[in-house]
Amino acid sequence: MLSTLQPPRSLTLLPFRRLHGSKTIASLASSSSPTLDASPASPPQSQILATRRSLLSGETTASEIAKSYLSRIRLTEPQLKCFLHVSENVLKDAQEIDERISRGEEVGPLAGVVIGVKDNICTEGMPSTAASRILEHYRPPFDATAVKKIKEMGGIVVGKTNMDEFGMGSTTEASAFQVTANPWDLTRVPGGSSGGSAAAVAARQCMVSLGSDTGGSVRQPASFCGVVGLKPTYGRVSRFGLMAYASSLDVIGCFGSTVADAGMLLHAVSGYDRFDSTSSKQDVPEFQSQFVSMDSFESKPLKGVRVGLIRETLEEGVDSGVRSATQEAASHLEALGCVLTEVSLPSFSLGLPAYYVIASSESSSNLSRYDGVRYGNQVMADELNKLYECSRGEGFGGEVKMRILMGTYALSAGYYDAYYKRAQQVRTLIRKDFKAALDQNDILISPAAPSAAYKIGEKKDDPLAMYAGDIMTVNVNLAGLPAIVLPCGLVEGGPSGLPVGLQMIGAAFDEEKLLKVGHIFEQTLKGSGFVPPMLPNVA
Amino acid sequence: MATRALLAAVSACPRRRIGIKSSTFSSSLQFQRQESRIIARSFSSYTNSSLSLPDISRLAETARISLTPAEIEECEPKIRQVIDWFGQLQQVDVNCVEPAIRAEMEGGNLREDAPQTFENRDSIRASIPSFDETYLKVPKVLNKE
Amino acid sequence: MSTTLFRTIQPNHFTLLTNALLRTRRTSRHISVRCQTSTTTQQSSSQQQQPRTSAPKNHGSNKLDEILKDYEAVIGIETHVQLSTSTKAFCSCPNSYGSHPNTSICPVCMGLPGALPVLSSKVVDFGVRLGLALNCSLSLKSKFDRKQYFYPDLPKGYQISQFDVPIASGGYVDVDIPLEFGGGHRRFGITRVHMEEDAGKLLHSDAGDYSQVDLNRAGVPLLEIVSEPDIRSGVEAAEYGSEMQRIVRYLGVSNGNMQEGSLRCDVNISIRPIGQAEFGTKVEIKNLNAFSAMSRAIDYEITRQALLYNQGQADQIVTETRLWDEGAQKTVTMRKKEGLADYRYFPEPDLPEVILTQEYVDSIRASLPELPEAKRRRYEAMGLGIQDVLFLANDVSVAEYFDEVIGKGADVKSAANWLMSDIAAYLKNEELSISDVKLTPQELAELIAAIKDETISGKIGKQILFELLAKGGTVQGMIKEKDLVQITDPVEIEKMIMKVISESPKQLEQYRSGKTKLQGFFTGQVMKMSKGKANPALLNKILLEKLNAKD
Repeated sequence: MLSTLQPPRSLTLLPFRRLHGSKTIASLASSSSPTLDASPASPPQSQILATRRSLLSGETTASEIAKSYLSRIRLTEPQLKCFLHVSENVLKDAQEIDERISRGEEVGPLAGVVIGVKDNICTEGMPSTAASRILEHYRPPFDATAVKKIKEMGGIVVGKTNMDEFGMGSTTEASAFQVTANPWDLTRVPGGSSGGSAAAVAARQCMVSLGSDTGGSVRQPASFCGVVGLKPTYGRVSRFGLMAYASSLDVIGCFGSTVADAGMLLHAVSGYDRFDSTSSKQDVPEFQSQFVSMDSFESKPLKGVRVGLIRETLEEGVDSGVRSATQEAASHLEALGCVLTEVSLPSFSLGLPAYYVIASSESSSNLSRYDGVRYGNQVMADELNKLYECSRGEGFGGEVKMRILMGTYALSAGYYDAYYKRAQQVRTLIRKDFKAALDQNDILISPAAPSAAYKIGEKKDDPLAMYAGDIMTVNVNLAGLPAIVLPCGLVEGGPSGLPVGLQMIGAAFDEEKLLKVGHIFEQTLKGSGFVPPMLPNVA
Repeated sequence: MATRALLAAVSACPRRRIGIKSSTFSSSLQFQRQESRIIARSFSSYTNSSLSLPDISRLAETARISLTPAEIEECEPKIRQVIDWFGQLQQVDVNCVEPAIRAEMEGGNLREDAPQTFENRDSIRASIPSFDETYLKVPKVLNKE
Repeated sequence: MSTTLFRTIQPNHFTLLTNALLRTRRTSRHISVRCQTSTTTQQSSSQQQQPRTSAPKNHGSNKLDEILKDYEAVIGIETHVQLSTSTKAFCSCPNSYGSHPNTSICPVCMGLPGALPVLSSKVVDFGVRLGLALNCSLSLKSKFDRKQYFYPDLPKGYQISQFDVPIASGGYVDVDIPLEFGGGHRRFGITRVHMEEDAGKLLHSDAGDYSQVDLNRAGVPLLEIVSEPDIRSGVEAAEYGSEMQRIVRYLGVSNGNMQEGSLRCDVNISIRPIGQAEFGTKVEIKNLNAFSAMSRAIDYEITRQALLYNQGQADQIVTETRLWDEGAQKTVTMRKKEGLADYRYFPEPDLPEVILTQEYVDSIRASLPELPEAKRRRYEAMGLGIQDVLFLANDVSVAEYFDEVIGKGADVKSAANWLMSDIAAYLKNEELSISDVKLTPQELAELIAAIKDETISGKIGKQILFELLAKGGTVQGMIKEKDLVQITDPVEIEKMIMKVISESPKQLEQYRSGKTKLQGFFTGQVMKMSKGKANPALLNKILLEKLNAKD
């Protein structure tokens, strides 16, 4: 167990200790880019704010930034395989921003920000396949609302990131096209399903990225890759353009290398959308005011914040390193002034089967549209049902087929009450438990996953072992609550340790509090930065 | 087991305030590494006798998915295992619990009845695999099933 | 719309017909003219029964009637009403019938990845309207569900519909059965009304080896009305269907056009021996694109099932969907149902609940127009006969026209007569609908008043009617322009009579010697002299006096 926790204002700022040298990695392992990475001696800096500053001051141009990221992608992508598609328009988009700046025009708050977009989020004219064979080469005729907003604010979509097919998986191994490696250890999974988005931010292939989170698909890979993953309240971000996996659970989430970056990206994509009637009309607060610099922190900057540690998340089945990191994170919060209590969510362990019943059921319905008739891969046949069966049989991967079949079963007449309805009743219990716990606490904390990143192939053939990894996150989706995962420590493994994420869960639509606590936590954590070892300099 | 008095409402559970120093934190909470995983308690059979085991071929037919014999052989035990695991939900007392059929949200968000033509229709039509310039083409269908 | 009106109004231009003719007329009026039949529906069924192998040979109508007497039909109807909204139910695509195939499409109704449905408020509005009109209770909280099946006209692989919590339920509808079918009122229960989306169209080309899909209709809003199994005959079913059509047209929620598929009725029918409590095996009949077809299909089906029962072959009545074959005038098996279809319904997670406030419901209730049943009862209370009542209330534009005419103070019976006779005939000949005519209700009221107060004669009235229908203008203007004011001055009329008498001594002599039929000759001569303007009653009165005077 590697402790990286220290009280605030006493940062020793030691680089992370590398436990094992790895020859594969050694050549890549070097100090990070001076322009893009904060020096290890200072807390991590927001890439978005830094970009804005340097663009507006004329210190650099959007084109230069874009070029540096493209070259980083070229350099690292052969090993990482985070992207399914890299945009041809990155430099063109960057030039436009530079021209606007040179003409003295206003540029949006995301001007020049290089953004990765998960492949299940529609980008007009750019391949969007949800990493499924059935949508290979599919180019949507419209932008997802989140993407539209990013573009309107000057953000540059650098490409589409790899994922588990349709979001069904926790390792990104279930992509139809490629397996993404964890930048901390290329033999390990980056987590999933938004593994590409998480790994790309960790590897500084992009500044921030969009993912989607149905049962933990943003938070778990954020934990595995040592980046910040933010899952907003259900309804905070429009789902229009997000290829549905389980509609009542799906949210678009944000990755960044800092809490501020994830928060600012969330701010950009949040808000009511008339194209998604499940999106909320709740006001979106200006999160940026929360991201104050460390100099202005008081000695107990989180004084009085009530933090509940979820008892069930530290019970059997959780790796000891994860458990210790979580405990120490809790102590760190306490040191920052938080009031720490232990809370129990009695329905906690039921969340997992309830989640898998609901997600499979909804997915079996949501994926019916992929029938080879209107778009996507079609296997022509002389008989209609053959066309359907072959197009879907050849188009879907194993995990997707399995979940569709399970969902079909759970929704069948005579089984509905026993599975789907019952799971929805359990969902009610889970919501009540969370509500009670959040009535008495401002935030709840838990590990983001029971373990750090594991080896590629390790759980591929054991669905229940894989599903068990989602235990920390699924309940939050069932309750529709916001949660943020941020790196809180390293455990043994890989060439230089493996990151462990802390999950903070807030009340519905109270992302602001999560961002505030998360930011202070991050800025006061020793060894902040969580830069994976394999990063070469940006050319 | 999953049902171990879990379902007493959380509010009824006495909550312990841990006003402890961080140095004693770990011992006071008695964190212990256990070899068994959370999931392990679910491996025993939950099969309810009134629910028959899934027939994979029939499900595949309903879901319009062709499966090779090898695929069936591979996924059948997995699906049965997972569905057996789902069975633990049968043991939860959910009497009088309303199902949460969707995320909590405000109702409404209705749309005005004002027509708007989607401009990029050519792109939609261009994506249709079999299109005869006017209609989508599908194998001859006689009767609706 | 005009052709629809023409169809319904067309057979009614005779007001005085024999009973036998009336029967034909009534059948066609309330059913449809397109498939007019000159026999009663039951007779036609028995005739069609002849070629069937399962039917015993030489089934006389009487014997069949004997058999039918022992059975009771139990009929429920599912009616799909396509709503006349500007957009589709869940996207902003124009809802326009007859567009070029696959042009009224967008990511939502094409079921593209990532697209989400957003419900139009108009659909809810129309659902509430229809629910209230059908005397239903409304669910202040209803929800949408997904009905799942694979078919090329169903882009998402599921239809968004309402399953266990429909927007309206537990209502009823009152209808008047035409006199020739026994007359009287019937009340049919309405189980539910729910909102859903339509599927696209699948075309089966005869030539090609493939089928074609047009998705313009995919996502168009529908209201499905499910009746209680209260209906007992083809006639009742047709009357139920007609009433649905009238109601949706009165409400303005649909054009109710069966030929365009805006109103579609699927019939569920079973029969049981009279006295038996449990229902028989239910058969569904589809492809009914006119109420007459519905009536005949049901009567055919009743006969078919009764004969099977009668022959001890009740087991051959199976749960199935049958199609009405208009050419052969019989129902044929479309597909057998093997067990109940499992649509794997579950709540639609992409749509919030539909929440109605009581104020909203009340405001819609307050804005409802007078409905057909209320209109019929009002017309009846005004003293109109049931034939007139049914005719006038049948078509909402005719009824509105009529109401305006009498609102201007016109005599009720006269207004009804004008509408049902001359105006109906004109509309038929010109293939127009009432809304196309130039004659305003105001002027029809003027015309009726002018005749009543004897400004003009009825004959003149008829003449100028057609001119007003075709060209418009005012009654007063036309009377002035053509100098049509009736002569009601007895002195003036007497003068003319004396002139005619003096110019026809021969005829006068013949008359006075007993050939009194010649009165008509004198009347005609005086009318001719007055250019038709002499008041006929006055003329005849004075003429008789003069002719019979002994001088």
